[in-house]
Amino acid sequence: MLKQSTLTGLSATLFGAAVVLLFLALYHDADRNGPILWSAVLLLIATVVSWLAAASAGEREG
Amino acid sequence: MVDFVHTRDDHSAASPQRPGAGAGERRTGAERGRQNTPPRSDVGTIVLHWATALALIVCLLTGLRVGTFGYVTPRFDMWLSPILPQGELWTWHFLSGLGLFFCASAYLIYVYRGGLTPRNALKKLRIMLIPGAGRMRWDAINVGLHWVAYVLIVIMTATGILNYLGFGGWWVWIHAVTALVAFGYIFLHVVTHYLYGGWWQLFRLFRPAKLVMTRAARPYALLLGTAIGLATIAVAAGIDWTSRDTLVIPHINGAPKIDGVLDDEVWTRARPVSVRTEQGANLGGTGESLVEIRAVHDGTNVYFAFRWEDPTRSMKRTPLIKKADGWHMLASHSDIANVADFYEDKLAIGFSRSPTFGSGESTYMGTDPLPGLPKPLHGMGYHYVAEGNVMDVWQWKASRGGHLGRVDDQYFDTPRKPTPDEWAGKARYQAGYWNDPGRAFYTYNYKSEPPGGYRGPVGIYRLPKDWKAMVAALGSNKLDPTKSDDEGSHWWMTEEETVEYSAEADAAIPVGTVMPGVLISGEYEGDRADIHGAAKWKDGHWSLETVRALRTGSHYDQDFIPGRDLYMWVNVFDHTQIRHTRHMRGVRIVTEP
Repeated sequence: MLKQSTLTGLSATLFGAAVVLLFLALYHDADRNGPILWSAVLLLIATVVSWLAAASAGEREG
Repeated sequence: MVDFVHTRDDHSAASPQRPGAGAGERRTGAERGRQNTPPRSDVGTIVLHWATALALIVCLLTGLRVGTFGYVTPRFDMWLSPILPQGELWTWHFLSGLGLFFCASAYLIYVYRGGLTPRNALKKLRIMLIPGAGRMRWDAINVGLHWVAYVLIVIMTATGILNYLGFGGWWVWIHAVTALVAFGYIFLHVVTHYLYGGWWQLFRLFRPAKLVMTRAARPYALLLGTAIGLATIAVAAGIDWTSRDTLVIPHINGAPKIDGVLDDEVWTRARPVSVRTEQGANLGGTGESLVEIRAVHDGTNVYFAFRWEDPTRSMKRTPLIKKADGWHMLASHSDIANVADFYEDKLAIGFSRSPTFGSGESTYMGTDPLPGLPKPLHGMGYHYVAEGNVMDVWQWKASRGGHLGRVDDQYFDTPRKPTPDEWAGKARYQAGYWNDPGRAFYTYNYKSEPPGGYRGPVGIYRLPKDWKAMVAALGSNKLDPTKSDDEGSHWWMTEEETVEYSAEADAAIPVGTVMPGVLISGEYEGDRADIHGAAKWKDGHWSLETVRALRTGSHYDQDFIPGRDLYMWVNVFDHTQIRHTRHMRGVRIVTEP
């Protein structure tokens, strides 16, 4: 099981990457169906999962 | 709506569940013993905060670009233009707006179910009045600012819905100004949270913890909030889709007389659809025009009747005035194809198979929406579509055949290859907006000039044979584009009424004479000649009747076939070249057998 601090760092990284890709898609001719946007969406979902996991890990660690 | 940063309640006596620690904030026993331990926020607040932040920022950036085109706050929007996104932004704007719907409803459920209401209790604001409150004062300020954000988002949401439904004028202005305030709020919000708790107050939104289950909290706060949020946007989208207008084209016997007067009996059998259009130039300052549409077919042709609000009959399309040094263009910004004074009235009607936003995904905004191709002269954007999504465009033009029985047949398709002159910026590149194959009978009586041109005398092709008769045909209003032109006034000249330009013929025309900028010669030909029409202006309304074959077989047209639905958009131009009104929801067209 990953530690809360590790998951916190991971989620921050995922979120940062997702935001960069989201705005890249927005500024890349407002691409709405391209791989950049879908990658951003997947990373945002992964971020939320990591946040939830980090919160649970924190509870376990007391 | 989500508060942008979950305030830390560690000084708060307003947290009845757990004195000494913030509601929703996780502070373990170890943390209590170590005051310097960086704080964390509950995971629901983090998720909803960032969902709101992203949706709001996308909404603001795309909305500011939309505002650039709509001239709501033109100078500020144009100043921001270099950092704004480009392209088909309507879809981004509306979907991010729908995202805010989700966040707002999810947050309400989350806060109440999570027992987090004390977090933003208004009574905290009293701390601002206490002398020496120190850091707690920043907490109170942050709570106050959160409420400002809630109010801003409520206003933006309400006015955004009204704009979406076609209410323009002041509603657009309020929406735009509130958005600009929200833009400034984001920076203020970050600064005041920093002043309250330093960098860790900002970083806590990346450091999730479980929601503390107080006596006021109920389980599954985030799960239920998310479910309610999703249900809310599903209902909103469902209501939007099912409440869109449908124009049914019934099969009738007996065609209407195409004369611009909607008194034919057949029109009483056609159920009208009314479309609120907005954000255009002029139109008495409101930018709004209500368009009423009827349609019938007789098995061979389809007939449309349009009636729309326009306070003035505007016939002047880039007329010329003689000065001591030659002929000058009266219109402003003709060089960048963005005239909004001396210009004719128009109505554009688009038919597409696509019901999507941005007029069937045909509107691409920005100063350079097609990198690698010439930039739009006016800096507003281009019309074009993706492969296979051709939009059939009919454009009635008051002085370019609009009173001679013609409606121009045009289309939006994929961007064309630019000509050498367009590459060089000497001619207007129009991307995917072009005329059907064939020929129109209008041309212009002045030599084209590139951006920066038309500041001095312009080259002229033809002069009137009888300048006095030409002046008489213009009617009584020659120099005021904001006033109505006379009924029957002719702001064009035919080939027969003119002679080729010569210095001798020019010398006979006195200084101060106004001359039309439009020449009519020959006849429409080819696909471009498919549509006929007639129009009349009376009592602040234009009425237009059109006729076209149900099926033309042209690649650039949409056929009206039973069982094959189309979607229609209409745009009103009140003496403006490009700044037309718009509406967000296409009208579904159903052709009856």
